[in-house]
Amino acid sequence: MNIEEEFDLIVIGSGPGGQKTAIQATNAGLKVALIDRERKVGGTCVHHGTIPSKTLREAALTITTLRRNPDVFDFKLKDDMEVSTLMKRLDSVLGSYTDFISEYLTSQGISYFHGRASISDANTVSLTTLKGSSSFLSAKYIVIATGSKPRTPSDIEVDHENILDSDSILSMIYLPRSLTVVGGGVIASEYASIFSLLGVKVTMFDRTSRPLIFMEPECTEKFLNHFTKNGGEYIGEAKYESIKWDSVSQVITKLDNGTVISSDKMLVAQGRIANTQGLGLEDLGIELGRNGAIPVDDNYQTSIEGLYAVGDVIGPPSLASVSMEQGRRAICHALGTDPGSKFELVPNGIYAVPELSSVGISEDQAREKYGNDIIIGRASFDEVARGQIAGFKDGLLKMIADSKTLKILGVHVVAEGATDLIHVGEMAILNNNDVRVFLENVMNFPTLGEAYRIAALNIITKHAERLARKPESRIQNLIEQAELN
Amino acid sequence: MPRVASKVFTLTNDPNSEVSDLSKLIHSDQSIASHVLRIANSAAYGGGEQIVSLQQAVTCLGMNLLGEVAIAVSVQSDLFKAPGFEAQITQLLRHALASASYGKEISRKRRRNVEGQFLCGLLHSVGKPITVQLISTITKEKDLELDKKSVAQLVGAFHRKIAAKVAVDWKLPEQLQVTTIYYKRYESAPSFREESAATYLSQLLASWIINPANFKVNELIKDPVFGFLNFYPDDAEDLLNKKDHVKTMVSAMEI
Repeated sequence: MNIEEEFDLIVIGSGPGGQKTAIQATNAGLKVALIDRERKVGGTCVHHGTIPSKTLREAALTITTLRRNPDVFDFKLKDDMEVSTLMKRLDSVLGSYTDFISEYLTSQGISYFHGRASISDANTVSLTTLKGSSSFLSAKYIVIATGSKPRTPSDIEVDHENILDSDSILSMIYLPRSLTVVGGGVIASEYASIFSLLGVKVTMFDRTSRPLIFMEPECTEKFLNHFTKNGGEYIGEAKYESIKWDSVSQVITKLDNGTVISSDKMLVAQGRIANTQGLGLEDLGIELGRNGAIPVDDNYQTSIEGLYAVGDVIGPPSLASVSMEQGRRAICHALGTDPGSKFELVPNGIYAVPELSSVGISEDQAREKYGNDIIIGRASFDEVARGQIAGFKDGLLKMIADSKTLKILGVHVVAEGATDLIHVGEMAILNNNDVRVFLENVMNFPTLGEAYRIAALNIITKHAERLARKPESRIQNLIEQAELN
Repeated sequence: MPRVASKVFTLTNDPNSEVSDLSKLIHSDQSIASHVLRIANSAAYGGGEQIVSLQQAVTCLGMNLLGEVAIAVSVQSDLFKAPGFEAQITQLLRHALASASYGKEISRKRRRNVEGQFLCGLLHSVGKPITVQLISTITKEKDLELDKKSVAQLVGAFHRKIAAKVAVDWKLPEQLQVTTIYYKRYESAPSFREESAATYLSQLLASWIINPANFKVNELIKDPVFGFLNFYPDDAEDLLNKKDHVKTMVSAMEI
């Protein structure tokens, strides 16, 4: 085996996790190689996932705002403008973003290799180029950050023409009149709400009673209301019996409840599986977990010393933000430096229309842990001046606090801007603040952040009512408790 | 009445016929496809929605309107009339259909738009039958006789210019305009560069399945277009292995 070049670290995969890992390592003075099977850096996040879907979302929101206010903007869309406009914007965003990343990685001294990587042993990676020639690179450490791809159930024939997955959905060159979405998770909800906003008749179905089942029911209810108001339909507790393209123009879906859905196109969003194919992990004795995920320890190290894995390839939560932090921590562990205290809080961000975001624990989790010793504060965005101005009146911020200490336990938001707004709550929880922090300090006005103040005030009011209350019978207590919450 | 027009007429007037037959017919011929797109996007038929795919045309126009358009196309079109050159026309259409079918496989592998690539493959050589038709008309008018080689040379010399003019004059979707003009020079396409490369590859593979004796597989697989589209050797092998599938699709779609 001829080693072509020696490095301190080889990172396989150039998505967010891989990039952050490589940059962290070069900052620590390591000689780093970054390998990707695609010519352009960025991984699925940039080319098929996060960036394209968010770009599409922003374009859809802009177009919708203009379309809904023709008197204000004196604006009329050309009939044939939508898709070409959306796609051009997407291309320019992707182009400038990948160019920026490439230049940045080069400026950091990271060596980029375009090819397929296979791990020969704990310190050697075989690299196969597009032309099929192979060479070997060696390193003290290897980090796998190869991400994930859409999971396709064996009984659905995803042809990327009529039945699409979350990779191919963005390649559509025209807006279909109707779209069926299989799934009720993050990707399904994001695309369903975006296409619904663009005027496509969207039908989403899933086994769960409501979409985004892991989010606060009050928030998903708001999301569902919004989705329905835009013409979307959600069919819960339903499984497909068959999904077929009729060879003419429609995808025909038969559900187990007897419903038959006919649509121009279908999006299959049934989770994701890890990209581990071809890495040679089986030969290294690494047994893969659910959906092909690579098992790692708390330091993101596999069962082989010096071989790490981060991001989607190790399984949920499959968030770019988490992948990046995992990459940083893997390098800290490899170098024996302190990564800081283990992160417990991971904010959830769902870029549906409207956005949903949460941090900390849910009401159900809080009740399980604290019983009735919790207080819920709510801020409806029609009470928030900025919400009124921006037209986000149907948003909600729900704050959960410990009734004894008034410490914030969880924050859940549904509204435009939720994914940014959540960080205020995240910092408050991280700092162990109680809700009074939002009353005793000054925040800008008018802002969406005012919702925190309103929710905190709601909690303080309920808290005061509890304290002022005379001892009552047990039953009366329970009734009041329920009302107050 | 031309053969295709007659078939369309029969289909649209037969209560037992299905939209799928009409859809298949429209997908199977570059001249019908291009004219359907042109007319479907005309002021007379266009419902405000730009038609950029045959599938979209089938969905949006429906059986009756689509039948109307298809009959109008097939009756009016002169593309089917090239007396003395029927064999060449058939061969060209078969190649276009094979390009379209291979284009689908290329796009599936790349998870890019399959419908769009089908059309790019089908229409990339739309200038060829038009050139043949022009040669047929001129030779008849001038009472000339041309051998096959000369015809081929004339087609080779003029078809791209004619295709480019047709794509623009008929206001075909932008992607089709670009790929039709730039597929041979895909690296210099001003936009839709990858689609142009995929079109180049699809017509190359179509030529291979139609005339396998003209190609050496190990040479074919070295074409730089595979690398341009990020196809590794095994991806390229996979594509070549689709040969029989594509042939079956072509046979099924041929009129």
